[in-house]
Amino acid sequence: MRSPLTILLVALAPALAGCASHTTTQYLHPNVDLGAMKTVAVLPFENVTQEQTAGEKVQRIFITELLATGVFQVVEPGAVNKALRAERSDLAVSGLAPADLKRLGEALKVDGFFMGTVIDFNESHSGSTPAPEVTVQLRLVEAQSGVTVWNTSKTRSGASLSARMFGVGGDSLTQAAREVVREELHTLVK
Amino acid sequence: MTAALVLAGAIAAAAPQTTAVPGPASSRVVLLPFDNFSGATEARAAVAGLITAGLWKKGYEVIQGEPVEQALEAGRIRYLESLTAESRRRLLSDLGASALVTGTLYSWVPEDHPSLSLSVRMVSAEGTTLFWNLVGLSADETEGMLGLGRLSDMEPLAREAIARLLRGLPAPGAAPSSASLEGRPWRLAAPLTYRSEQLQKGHVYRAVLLPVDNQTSVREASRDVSDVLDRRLAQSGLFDVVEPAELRAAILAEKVRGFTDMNPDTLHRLGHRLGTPLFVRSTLTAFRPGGLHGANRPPQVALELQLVDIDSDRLLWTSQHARRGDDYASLFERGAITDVVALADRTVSEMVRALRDTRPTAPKAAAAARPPKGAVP
Repeated sequence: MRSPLTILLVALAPALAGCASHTTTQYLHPNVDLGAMKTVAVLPFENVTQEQTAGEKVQRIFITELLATGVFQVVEPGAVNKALRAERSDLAVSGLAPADLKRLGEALKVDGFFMGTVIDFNESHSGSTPAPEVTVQLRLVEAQSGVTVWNTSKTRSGASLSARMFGVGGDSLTQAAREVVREELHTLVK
Repeated sequence: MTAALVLAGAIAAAAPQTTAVPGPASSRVVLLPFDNFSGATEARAAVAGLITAGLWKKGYEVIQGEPVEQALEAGRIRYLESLTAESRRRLLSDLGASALVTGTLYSWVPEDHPSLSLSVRMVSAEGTTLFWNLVGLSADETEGMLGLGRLSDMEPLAREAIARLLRGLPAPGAAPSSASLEGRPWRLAAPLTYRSEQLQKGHVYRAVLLPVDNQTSVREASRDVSDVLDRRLAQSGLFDVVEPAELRAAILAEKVRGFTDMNPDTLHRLGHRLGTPLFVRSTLTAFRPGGLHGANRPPQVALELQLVDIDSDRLLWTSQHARRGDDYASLFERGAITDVVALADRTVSEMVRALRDTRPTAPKAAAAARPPKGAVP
């Protein structure tokens, strides 16, 4: 027989787990064969936020989360930057055409490229608790064809309910970014 | 300043000087002048006095001062935190000792709310680290219940810090020992960690620690974090970390222009010379000292690490972690870390411990597309 306290905790658990606002949109190419993509490169993330280092920060989080899936071999970022510099004088990836990606893919011996854009990366406060706002758009592009096979965008904003209710804890910006990236990747791989 | 000099003199005078009768070579150690990043010039002498006393108490005979200065000058040794194998052997042989004691003083704040942080390392002639430890201590941290037991003056605080620093130092001839790798408190999130299955348990990998990419405005942060990272990686039992002095020598020999020139080609050349394809890159994104003079602002550290195999262009380990000093506070605010270098050490320790404890990620046979809910075909 369950005690009233247990019942109360079970009832409240989903609410306390965190109720920050989440928004997701996603696209997966109907004919994609992800099994054929074994080695990938992660291109430098674009950053359209006010926080200068947001692109680098989220890219590093993404690489760790991607590696942790165990699905792809990921080329070392230093080698990617070197190949990118050989292709373009700067490291901007927004202007890369399919032909550029094909050449890069051959140089790096990769089957695909992950690209990302950090759209929001800021931390406001709801009272004394942190209320991070993070939006990350991710893309997987086939190196040979330049076709986008997966595209997703996710936003997480606001303080979790437990933080709002009790005024303690709450996710940091890094933790929020990690959660967003992990959930986005979860739409790609089982 | 005068008070500080008097304090330094008092501490130094209280310490025993080099014994006249030489002991066995295994108990004789050379104490090098500590690297002093604290900005307090008088602190070096005070610390040397207390360290000498601590070593003497453990049964070591300490060679320091004039003979050491002369040997350093003769050997043209400039960087004291790390010596090449050749310099180390020659210095110890010239002075008839079996081990070197080096150290770094990171901070020394004698006024108002006194605090200090420092590390010490004992290295054998063969290069084995016999002991390493780091301590950061403030007067606030010594306060017991109801404000009792607080060490409000610098002299007793420095004595207490150095007693804690040398607590685990083995007696002469005993097995090497060092501070343990601390894990995360159960209530705090673990470092975000990936470990490749190529990084197998039971193997020791020779790795080069590249200088920290410091994205903070604190200039000395890179040096402080490199120091703790170097030691904690070595302590993990997974890595044989190339001595910074060996890396400096390789950089000179390869005519690398500077640490900003560390592209994959340069790393290949350095790796060939240093005998390993493994490099640890680190990026420091936050390093905020706590509020001075008791101001209620906890220190903060955020660090990212990558272990790169330049032969295969693969990442073998990645880790991200961030901590605040008050993350460790428990009841009545006890346990909070107030010194930023001590916090960096704890953060790094948790990252390395997480690597050691993490099971390698086995590659999956193939990526499996997850039919997305509401996907646009």
